[in-house]
Amino acid sequence: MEHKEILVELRHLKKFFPVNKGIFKKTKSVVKAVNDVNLTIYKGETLGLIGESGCGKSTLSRMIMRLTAPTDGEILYQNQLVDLKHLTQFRRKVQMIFQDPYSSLDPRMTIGNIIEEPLRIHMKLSREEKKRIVLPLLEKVSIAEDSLKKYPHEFSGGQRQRIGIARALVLTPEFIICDEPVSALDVSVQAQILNLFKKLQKDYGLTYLFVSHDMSVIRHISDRIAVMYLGRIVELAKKQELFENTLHPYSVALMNAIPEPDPDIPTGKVRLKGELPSPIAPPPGCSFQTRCSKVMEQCRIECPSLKEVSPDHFAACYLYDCEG
Amino acid sequence: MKKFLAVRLTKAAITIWFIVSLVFILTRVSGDPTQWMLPDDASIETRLALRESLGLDLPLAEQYKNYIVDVFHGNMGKSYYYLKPVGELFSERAAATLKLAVTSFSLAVLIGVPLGVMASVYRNTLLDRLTMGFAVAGYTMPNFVLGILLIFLFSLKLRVLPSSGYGKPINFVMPVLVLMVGPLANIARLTRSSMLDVLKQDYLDCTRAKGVAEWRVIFKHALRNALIPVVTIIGLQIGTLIGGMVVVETVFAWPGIGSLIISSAQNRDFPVIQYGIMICAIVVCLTNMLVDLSYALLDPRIRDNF
Amino acid sequence: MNKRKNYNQTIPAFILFLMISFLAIFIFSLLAPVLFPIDLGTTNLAERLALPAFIDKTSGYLLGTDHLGRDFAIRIVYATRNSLMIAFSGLIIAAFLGTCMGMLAGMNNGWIDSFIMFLVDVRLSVPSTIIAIVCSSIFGSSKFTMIMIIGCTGFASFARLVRGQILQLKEANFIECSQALGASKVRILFEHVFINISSPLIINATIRLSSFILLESSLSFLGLGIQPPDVSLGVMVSAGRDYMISSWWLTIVPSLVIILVVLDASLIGDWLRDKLDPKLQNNS
Repeated sequence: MEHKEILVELRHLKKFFPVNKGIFKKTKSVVKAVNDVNLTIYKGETLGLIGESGCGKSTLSRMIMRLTAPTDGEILYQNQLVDLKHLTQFRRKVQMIFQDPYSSLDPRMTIGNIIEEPLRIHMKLSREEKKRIVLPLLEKVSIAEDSLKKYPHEFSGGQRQRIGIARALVLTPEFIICDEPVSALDVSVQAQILNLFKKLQKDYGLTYLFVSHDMSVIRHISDRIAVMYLGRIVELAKKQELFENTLHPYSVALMNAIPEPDPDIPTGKVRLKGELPSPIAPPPGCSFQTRCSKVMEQCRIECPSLKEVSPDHFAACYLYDCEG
Repeated sequence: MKKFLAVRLTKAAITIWFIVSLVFILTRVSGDPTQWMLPDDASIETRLALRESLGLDLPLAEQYKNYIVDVFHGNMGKSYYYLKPVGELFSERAAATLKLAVTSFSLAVLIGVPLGVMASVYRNTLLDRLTMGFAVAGYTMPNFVLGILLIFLFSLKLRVLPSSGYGKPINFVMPVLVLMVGPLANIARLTRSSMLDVLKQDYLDCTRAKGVAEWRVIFKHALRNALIPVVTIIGLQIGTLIGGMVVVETVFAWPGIGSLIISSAQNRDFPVIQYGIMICAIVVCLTNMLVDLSYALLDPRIRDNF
Repeated sequence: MNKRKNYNQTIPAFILFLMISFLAIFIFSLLAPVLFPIDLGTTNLAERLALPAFIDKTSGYLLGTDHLGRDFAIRIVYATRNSLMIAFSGLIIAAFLGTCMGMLAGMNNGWIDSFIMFLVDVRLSVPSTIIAIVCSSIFGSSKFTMIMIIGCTGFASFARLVRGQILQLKEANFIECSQALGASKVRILFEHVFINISSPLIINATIRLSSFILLESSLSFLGLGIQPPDVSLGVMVSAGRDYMISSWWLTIVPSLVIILVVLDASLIGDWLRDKLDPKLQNNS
């Protein structure tokens, strides 16, 4: 096993949202958006995070960026705790690319101003110095040089996303969180952007946390994949391993949902039955029990924790919990 | 439904109480009202006696308490100027104002809504442009200016209408005209734009395809759905109407509540002013509640929320 | 705030004409004390009610004189100046007050928001004319009170507008993006928030200007606004009423000036609003 450098570590990360009811806004219950997540991200890799809408992946990425404060747990970056004291330093090394290219750029600012914003915030540079940083970046993301004076509405979705990427790169970060960056784009454009991500990773030595609900996208870009369901990580493995040797029933269902272009290859017939349990009052035990075809008595009592089933392959399921 | 009514009534009551209290405190705190009630050379004893008789020598909190208690008993105080109970003053003049208000408002709605509908149906034709041109003129024209111009034209030059007076139907012509122009213009404009939004909708084509006559499509189907913003703006015009009433009554020497308020303002007759503001606030709040309730009638989606 | 159509940079000729004429009137009237330095109080009873030049070609007065013998044309210019200055000053106060309230309300959900909206509701429960009448009764009538009245009653539309814009901005990602980049709250306020709310703010200001001019004129007409020897358009309309039969221009000319100025500002405001977003509802 290679000893890779750990860049980001998430320990027992939790985010609970209170549900306020009544005129006096009493907290009646909580939505457990992120429920005890432990993850390690190694330097230079792309960790894909997949899950359906509402499973908590966006909340998780926002917590890592410290856009929301965790209810509990710790985030460590290069072995240092990420808290308010070290936030500015942290922001220079860690950046985020957002899902909606239409609302993530200020419609009233020119592209030049938008991309230069991180430079304005963190450094004091002259106009020429700023230009020297920005122009090569524009070239790297294939945006024309004369775009600097134009406004976001003059660009297509794909182009705007590339502008957002340029903005994220301007401070030469080490770690980039990509929160569904291609979900709002046409399929043809998606491929372009994903290839751009790969190229930039090679050129700049970046580490990615890539969040998506689209398995085909995740498959294309990730080194390792974590599968998330209702606030918990249910499976974590290298890409190849996950596809050849899918363990968790939920992951199996996700795999089967990938459209297969070759009509001769039979698609798996795993259909998820049952209803998504209410995130406010989930039943005790495994969060997947209501839809699992292989559910057992044990699953209804206690929630299984993420255990290493084979080298570097983790699953949270009693099917693989070898007692003894 | 009951909960909604209760909440709105409470909100309205709090708003009205706040306004009335604010006016009360400001009038007491801003200076001595007796200053203007007596000739300048009145002796200090006369002033003090007057203050005492009006209860102005008591501490502010006690005056306020007495006032609130009085209001709840229906006693609105006595006018400093007319020395009559305020309630009596208002009820004497209420008829004149109400007649004017009801006539103007009804005409504004009855003419404005159809006008807006027609303009939207025949959009971009001469009818539409003329109507909207008049509407712009209508809501930008200051009402006192319009009144003066009408008096100049019809009373002084043409001599066909009386410039003031009350009692005969002919006295109503100019005041009603001036008062209704603003609300009419706003109602027509908004009806038109609301109808334009609705007329674009696909479900109307569906109705037409079923063979329903065009006028039915417009009035029964389209208008009903366009009505919510229209009802809102009709409700808002009450405020415009009240504000315009004061000016119109002054220009045409109309013996109503509006001219009473103006003369009381000039005379610093605070009890009258306080009651006048209270009435305004009550009317506006009630109108807003009615408008909200009408949404439930008009839009079944809102009805379900009750 | 999402996809926008191309900015249509051309201004129709008519609107351009309106803008220029308004600016011309504004500047010209502002310069009144410089161009026509007279004392508004002095009377010249010997020359009272002289005829204007367009009726009597021999008259030395462009628009005649009023009932106290004062040059009418000059008084009109001063009156326009006063009316416009009061309206503008009031507008600035109302816009500032309303914007602050709207920002406070939009950024702090909770009781601050509810309270500020309550204040807006209270203000809107009484027509502005009535409020102005009552205030002038309590506080007296003068230029200063008029400006304060306009300022303290005109905040409502600005507060609602700014609050709505802030609430929309909160949903927009780019604010979050700037936070993620490490921008301080102050920087976000100045670089992003202000720029984005400025457009609707200016439009509302232009539209409200005409109603402020109207409010001041109405009040002065009723005798509760500006007092002599100061002059405003409303005062002149009222003063000329008594002489309508013989000297009709004393009322009609200031009336026409009011119509012109209000219409001008109103049309510019409407055009601005339609240009930006035809769906923008008028919120007062």
